[in-house]
Amino acid sequence: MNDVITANQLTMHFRSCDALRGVDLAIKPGTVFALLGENGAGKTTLIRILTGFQKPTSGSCRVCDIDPTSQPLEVRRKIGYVSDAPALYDWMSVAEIGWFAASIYGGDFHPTYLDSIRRYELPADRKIRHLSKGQRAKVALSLAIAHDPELLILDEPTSGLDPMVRRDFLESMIDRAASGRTVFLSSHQISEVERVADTIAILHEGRLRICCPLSELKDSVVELTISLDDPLVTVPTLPDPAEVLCEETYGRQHRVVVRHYQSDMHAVLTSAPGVAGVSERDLSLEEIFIAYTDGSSPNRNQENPAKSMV
Amino acid sequence: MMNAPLMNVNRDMIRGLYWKETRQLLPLVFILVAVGVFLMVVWGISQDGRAPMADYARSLPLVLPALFAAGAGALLVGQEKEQRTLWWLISMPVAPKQLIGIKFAVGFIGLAVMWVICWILFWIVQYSNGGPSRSLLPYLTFPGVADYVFLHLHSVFLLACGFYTAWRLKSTFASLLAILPLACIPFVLQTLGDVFRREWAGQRLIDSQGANAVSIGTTSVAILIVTWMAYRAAQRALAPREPILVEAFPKTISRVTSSPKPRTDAPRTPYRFLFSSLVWQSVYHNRITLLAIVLLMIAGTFAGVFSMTRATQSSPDLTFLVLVAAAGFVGVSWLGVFAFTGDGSATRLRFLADRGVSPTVAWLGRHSIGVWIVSVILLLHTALSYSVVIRWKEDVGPLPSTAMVALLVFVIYGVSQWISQLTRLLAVSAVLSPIVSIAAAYWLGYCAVLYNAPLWLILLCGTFPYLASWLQMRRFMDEIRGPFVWTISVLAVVMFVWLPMIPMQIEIARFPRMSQERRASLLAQAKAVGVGYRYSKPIVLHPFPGDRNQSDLTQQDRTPLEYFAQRSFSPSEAILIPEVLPWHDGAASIDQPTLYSILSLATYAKLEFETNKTSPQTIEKIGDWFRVLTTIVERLRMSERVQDQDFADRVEIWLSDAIKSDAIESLHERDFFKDAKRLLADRSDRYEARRRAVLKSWAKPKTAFDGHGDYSLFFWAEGMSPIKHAAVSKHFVDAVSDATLRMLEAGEAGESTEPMRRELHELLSSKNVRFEDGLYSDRIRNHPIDNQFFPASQWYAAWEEEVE
Repeated sequence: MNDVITANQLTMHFRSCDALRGVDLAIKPGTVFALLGENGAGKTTLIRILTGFQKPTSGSCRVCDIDPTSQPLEVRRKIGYVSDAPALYDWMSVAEIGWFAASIYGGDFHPTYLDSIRRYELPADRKIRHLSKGQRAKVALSLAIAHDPELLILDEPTSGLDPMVRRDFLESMIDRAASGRTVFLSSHQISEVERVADTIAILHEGRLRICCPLSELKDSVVELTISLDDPLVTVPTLPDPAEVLCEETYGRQHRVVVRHYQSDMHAVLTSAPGVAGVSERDLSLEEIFIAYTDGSSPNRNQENPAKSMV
Repeated sequence: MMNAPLMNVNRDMIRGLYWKETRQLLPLVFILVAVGVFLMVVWGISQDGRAPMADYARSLPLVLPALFAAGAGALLVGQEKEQRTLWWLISMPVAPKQLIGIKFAVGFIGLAVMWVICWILFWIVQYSNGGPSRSLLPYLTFPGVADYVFLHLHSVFLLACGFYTAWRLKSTFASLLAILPLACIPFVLQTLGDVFRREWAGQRLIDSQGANAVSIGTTSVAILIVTWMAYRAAQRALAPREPILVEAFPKTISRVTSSPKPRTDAPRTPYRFLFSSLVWQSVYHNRITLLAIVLLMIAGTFAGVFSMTRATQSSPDLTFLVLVAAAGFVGVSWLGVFAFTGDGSATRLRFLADRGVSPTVAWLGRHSIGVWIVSVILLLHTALSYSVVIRWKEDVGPLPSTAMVALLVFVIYGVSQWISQLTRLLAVSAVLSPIVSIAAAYWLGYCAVLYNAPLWLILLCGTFPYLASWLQMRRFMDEIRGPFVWTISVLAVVMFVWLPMIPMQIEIARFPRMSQERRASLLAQAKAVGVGYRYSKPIVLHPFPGDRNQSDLTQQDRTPLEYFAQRSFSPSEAILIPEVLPWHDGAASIDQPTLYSILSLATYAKLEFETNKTSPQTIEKIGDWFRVLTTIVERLRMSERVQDQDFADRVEIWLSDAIKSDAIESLHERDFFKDAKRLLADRSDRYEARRRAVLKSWAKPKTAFDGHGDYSLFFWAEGMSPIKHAAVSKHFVDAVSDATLRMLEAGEAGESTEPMRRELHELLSSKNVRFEDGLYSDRIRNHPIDNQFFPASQWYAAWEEEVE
C-alpha cells in the first residue's frame, strides 16, 4: 500500500530563519501519526506545505499520491484539515455553515455533519459568533470529518475542548485509523497523543529528530542513572548503536537518556573505573520528547533518521 | 469530461458560494440604502424647494452605487482576508477561479441592484417634488444621457478597482484608500485628452459628443484592464505561497544562527508613561495607511485654499481643486475611522483591556495621533490662507477661516470615529463615515443658520459623538455589544439631531398668538363683510406687435427708437381689463410685472404730453391713461386680495404724483382729471376696501403655498426654516392681519400707525434691518421702492394725506 504522505528533503526558508531543513517523511495509511515539536519547530509550516498553502523552497512531497504544490485542489478534496485557530464565518449558524460546506463537498457530507453536531450537542440554529471556543472547535472538527477524508490533518485539535469531549474525540481518531483512514495530528498534548498515536515524529529546529512507531520509540529509549565515586570521573562512552539524547550531572549522579541501549552495555558501564552503579528507567513520551528537544543533547545536528525507521 | 455527480457538486458549490457572498454583501446594501433614504428624508424636510439644495437631494441617490462599488471589494475580499475566513474557505476544494469569478459576479449583481434602487429613489424624489405627471425622462436628458452612461460605467470601474486593491493589498483600509487615486484615472485621461486636443491638435471647441465617446471608451477599456489585474492579483493571493529565493538571503543558515535583526522602530526601553506607549501604538499599527490619510488631508488643504484664488474665474482647474478639497474632508473622516478600526478590529484593543488599561486612557491614546495631525493641518491651513491673501490680494475669493475649518473637522472626525466604533465591518464604516459625517456637519451648519442655534450649542452637539464613543469604550474594548451601547447610540443621535433645533422651538413657542376673543371678533367682522372668498379676474397686457420676435427689429431699416416711436402705446392697445359681468362685480387683480409695465407706459404717455402739451393726441392719450388707471384702481379696490390693495396704492401714488405736476395741472378741467382726483380723495372707500381685503384674506383657508392675500409666505419667510414656517405660518398670518387691521383702526382714528408698522417690520423684515431703514419707516415710505411689496407699507403714508 502506498504511503499517504511522503516528503523528500523538504526545506523552507523564510526571511530570517529556516523553518524546515531537509525533512523526510513517510506515513502509512491507517495510522494515527503524531507530529510533536516545540513552538516554532516548523510543524505548521510542514502542514501548510502538505495542504498546498505554501510551496517549499526545495524538496518534494506527495499527499494521497498527489503533489500539493501543483494540485492543491485535488489534495484538499481528499483531506480534512483543521487549523489551530479555525476562522469560520461567524455570521453563519451551525446548520448554515454545514449546509454551505456540504455544497462544496457534496455526497453524504450534510447528514454526516448533522449527526456530528447532534453528537456534540451543538445548537444548530445558533450563530457561530455566539458559540464558546470549545463549541467552535467541535464545529470545525465536524466540518473536517463529515466528508470522511482519507487523511485528516489536525493542528492542535483538542485545544478548547473539555476533557470528556477530548477523550471521545481522541477515541474516534483511533476508530478512523482502524477503518483505514489516516490521522495526522500536531499537538502539544503529549499525554493525549501517547494514548492514541501509532507513530510519533519529533520536529526540532526544522529537522525531524525521530519518526517511528510509538511502542518502538518507548522501548528503545531508557534513562540511565550512573553513580560515580567522584564527580570528576569521566563517564565511559557507550558503544554503537547506542545514541545519547541528553545527559546531565548532579554531583556524583550522572543522568543519561539513551536510545538503542542494549543489555550488554550494562556490563560495560558497571565495569568502568569510578562507576559505583547503574540504574535504568523507562521514560514516558513526554520525557522522551524533552530529551530530544532540550538543549543538552550532544548530537543535536545529526542527520534526519526518519525514513528508515517507519 | 465531468461526470454527473461532480457536476451536481459543482452546481451546489456555485449556489453555496453565491449564497455566502450575497449574505456578506447584504449589510452594505441595507446600510447604504437606509442611510441614503434617511438623508434624503432629512434633506427633503429641511429644504423648502430652493433649487441648489433640491438638486443636491436629487443627486444623492446617484452617490449610493458609487459608495457600494467602492466598499464591495473590501467587504467580499478584504474582510475575509483580515478575518482569515478566506483561508478556511480555500482549505476546502474550492477552485480559485470559481471563487474569484463568483465574488466579482456577486459584486456586479449587487451594483446592478443598487442602481435599480438608486433609480427608484431618484424617481420617488422627482415624483414627490413634481407630482405624478413628472416623468424620469427629462432628468435623464440633464446633464445628458452620456453622463449617466458614464456614471454607470465608472461605478463598474470603481467596483473593479475595489476588487483589485482588496486582492492586492493586505490591509483593507489601505485597499480602500488606494481606490481613490484609481477612481480618478478616467477623469485624468479625459482631461489629458481635452488638453491634447486643445494644445496640440489645435481644437478650440471640444465636441461634447466626441468627448463623451472618448470618456466612455477609455473607461470601458480601463474596466477590462483593472478587472484583469484584479483577477491576476486574486490568483496570486489564492495560489500556494511562493518560497522566498534563497539567494536573496544567503546568510540565513538556520533559525539559531540567524536570529531576526531587531526592528529599529521598536523602542529599546519601555516608555515611562502608558499614554506614550498608546500613542506609539497608534502611529505604528498601520503606518502606510496613516501616511496616505495625512497626504490626502494635506492635498485637500492645499486645494481648498488655492481654489479660492480662482473662485471668480471659470476654470476647469477649479473643479479639480474643489474635488481634491472634498477628498481632504474624506481624509479627515477616514482619520476618524482609523482611530478605532485602523488596525483591523476591536480585538487589538482587547489586548489593552486584558491588561487593565483604563478605557479613558485607551480612548485618549487612540485619538492623540488624530488630534495631532488635525492640529498640524489647521496650522498649515492658516499659513496657506495667510500666504494666499498676501500673494493674490483682490483675486482671492471668500476663504473659510481656520476656526470654521476646525469646526467642520471637529464634527466630521467625531462622527466618523463614532461610526467606526459602532460598525463591526471596516468596509462599511469606511464607506459610510464620509457621507454621514459630512451630512452631520451640514445639519449643524443648517441649524446654525436657519434655527439660530448658537455656536456653543453647535459645539456641544459636536461633542456628543466623542462622548458616545468614550462612554462605549469599555464595552468596545471588551467586545461587548448590548442594550447599553445601543441606548447610548440612539440617545446621542437623538440629542445630535434635536438639540440644535431647540432655539427654533423656543422661537416657535414665543411667537405671538392671537387671543381667542380677538379671533372671534375678527371672524364676526369677516362674516359681516360677506361670506366666502371670490377670486378676482386678472388685468393683463396685450402682446405688442414685434415683441415676439426681436429679429423683426434688426430687419427694419429703422432704429429701435424709430420703431418704438411708431407705436402708440395707448391703453386700448396695451391693456385688457376684464369685463364686468352680471355674475361678477368686476373685481380685478393684477400681478407685479403687469403693474410695472402699465405704470411705465403711463409714464411714457405723461412724458409725451409734457413734451407736447398742446397736441390733441397727447392730451387724448394721457387722458386715456388717467381713465384706465382710475378704472384699474376702482376694480382693484373691489378685490379681496390684500396684495391688490397695495397695488392699487401704487397706482394711486402714480396718479397723485401726476396730478401734482405742473403740466398735468393744466388739464384740471378735464373729466378724467376730476375723476382721478375724486378717487384719490375717497378715503372711506379705500378704508373699506382695505379692511374687507384683510378680513377676507385672513379668514380664507390657507394652503401650504398660499400666504396672506396672495402675498407669498415663502417670500416673507425667506431665511426661515421649513419646520418653523409650517409651525408658525398660521400665527404669522394672524399677526400680520391683526397688525394691519389695528393699523386701519388707528389710521381712521387719526392716531399714529407707527406701533403697528413696527410690529409688521419685526414680523416681515430681515432681522438685520433696523426699523428706520425698513419699508415701514416714514423715511422709506415717502420714497417707495418699486420692486418691494410688503402688506400695508403705504397705508396712511404721506401721499394719502396730500391727496386728501
